[in-house]
Amino acid sequence: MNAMRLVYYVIDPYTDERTLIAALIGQAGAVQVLRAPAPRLAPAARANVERILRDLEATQVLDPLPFGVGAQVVAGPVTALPATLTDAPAWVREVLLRSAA
Amino acid sequence: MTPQVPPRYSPIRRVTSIVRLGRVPVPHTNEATYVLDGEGRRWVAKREADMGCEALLAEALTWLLARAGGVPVPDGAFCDDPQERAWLSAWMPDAKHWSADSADRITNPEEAAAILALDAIVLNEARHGGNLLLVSDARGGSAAVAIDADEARIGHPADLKAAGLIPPNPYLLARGFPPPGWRPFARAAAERFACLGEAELAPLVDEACAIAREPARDLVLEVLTARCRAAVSLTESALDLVEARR
Repeated sequence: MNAMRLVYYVIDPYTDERTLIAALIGQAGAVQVLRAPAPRLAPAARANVERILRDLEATQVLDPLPFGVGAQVVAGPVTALPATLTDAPAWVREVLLRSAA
Repeated sequence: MTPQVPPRYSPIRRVTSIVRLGRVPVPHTNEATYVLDGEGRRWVAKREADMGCEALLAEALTWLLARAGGVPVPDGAFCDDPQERAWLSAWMPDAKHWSADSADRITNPEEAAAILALDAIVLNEARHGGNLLLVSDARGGSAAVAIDADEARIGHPADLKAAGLIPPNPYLLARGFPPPGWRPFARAAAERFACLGEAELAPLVDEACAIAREPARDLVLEVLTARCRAAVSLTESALDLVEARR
């Protein structure tokens, strides 16, 4: 089964302001990280997100997220992708990440 | 010996009330919460009721010592509302946990290495990645910042005295910390701490004991003074253990 999980950067935990930064795709026992189009963030936040994405790219599982990402990252539930998809990453890019840009 | 860096001491800020906004979403032995104070300052709070008075003593005293020794720590405060009684650590924006995969371009290696000397003195064995933040800056670098000293054994002064002058065991130490080449920086920090004698440490101990309502002030001062005096050997021993683990 293919599955995915959306990952958000919490810009401000006091107001719960957040932005989508990636989707994790689980396929055949491996995890692929699809980066969301560069969110509009202040330079320091952008640098932090870049480090977080590196941690995500080293992970082998959808759940839990790597501990290193810290408290400013939250993820949605692990969700099954439609079984009929022939190219799950392309579908997630098109349907979810592009619309979040 | 003349201190290379004069001790910096100022009382811990008291906050009279806080507003709770939600739990910090990371595993933690003591529940941590995002809170605001009356002036809108942003803090992460840990209640004495959740962590115990020993942990509060450890937090307050370690923070004061960190400030005295130039160790990078967030601003700190104490909420003295009797219904709350919480240690407050300033929220650090754009921070993540330490990880070996992303710990590059560290902009404060000399200060960050002082964390090792601090932990050796207060016998803090909980310097895992969750207690070591990487705070990003606008130029793509990041500063390493120490948080959470609630497990430091200086909070249990009688036990620490009985344990003797032992270094922290690095079994939980964050992977990749310290990076290669930081040993001289840690040693230099230890030398600064070793210059702090009873006269310099007494106000720190008084302040921390007042906050934690710790009656054994003299014992705390005795233990802390002895460990500061031995800071260089404790730090070197701690680093030997780290290198042996690699």
